[in-house]
Amino acid sequence: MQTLTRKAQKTQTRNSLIQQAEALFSKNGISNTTTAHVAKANKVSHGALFVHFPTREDLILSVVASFGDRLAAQMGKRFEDDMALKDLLKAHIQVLSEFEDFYMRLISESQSLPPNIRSIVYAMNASLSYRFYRAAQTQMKDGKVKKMTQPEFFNTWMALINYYVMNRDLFSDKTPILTEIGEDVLRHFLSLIKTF
Amino acid sequence: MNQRCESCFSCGMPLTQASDFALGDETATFCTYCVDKEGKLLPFDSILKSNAGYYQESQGLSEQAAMKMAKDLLVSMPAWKNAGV
Repeated sequence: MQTLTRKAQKTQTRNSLIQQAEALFSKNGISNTTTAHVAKANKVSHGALFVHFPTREDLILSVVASFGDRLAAQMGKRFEDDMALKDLLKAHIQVLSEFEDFYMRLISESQSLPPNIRSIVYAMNASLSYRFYRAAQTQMKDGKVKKMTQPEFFNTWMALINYYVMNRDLFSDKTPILTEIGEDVLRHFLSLIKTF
Repeated sequence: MNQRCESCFSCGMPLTQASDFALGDETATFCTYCVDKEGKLLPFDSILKSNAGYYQESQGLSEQAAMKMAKDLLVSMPAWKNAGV
């Protein structure tokens, strides 16, 4: 086996810490997980973790950035130009269901996270909002979808999705909840916005 | 060799295709929205205002919340982190 260079080893440890932190955040919650927990799970000293992430905030930020990149990549794979609204929303549900454990923690703990992390989450949502609303506007012009503002449209969709994800333990024993009820939520949303 | 940036050093926007980069140059470190016609980084206040507008338009945040959210994000970015803004 080829010996890893010092730089490659450092990158590997860093990536492993990010993965381990995401798993612990997903399982136990972001606020309940300390840097000591992450170091222990990764079998490195607490001090070694701080070489890669000088503060706890840096670690959370790296996990959220990694999550955001993978989420965006998956969305990018599924979203196509001029995709119909229904298909876009369906793809959104599918992608979120793949990342649901961490997404649930992120939205549940949003207000107690460092402010720049909350900003990143809302920036990711902003991109989705523009994409979904562009597709909705086509149908608004055709008279098939009720006319409403971009925030009204996007926030109604997110309110439904986030409510079921945040309270998923109340609705099913199985996870991801979006795999269980995603189709029903989509059908209900489309019936709310249609004109006839 | 220059490594291709994955996100804008100023606002954090993902840089996935050539048109996302400043002047369409894939070796650039900024996105197309954060620079002027010559590819020079725009002033902080101008970027702050447009980013806040992005939050307001897309999700209906109040002006105050949107400005705070945009500032919290921008000051953590490499371009502004130690710029004393």
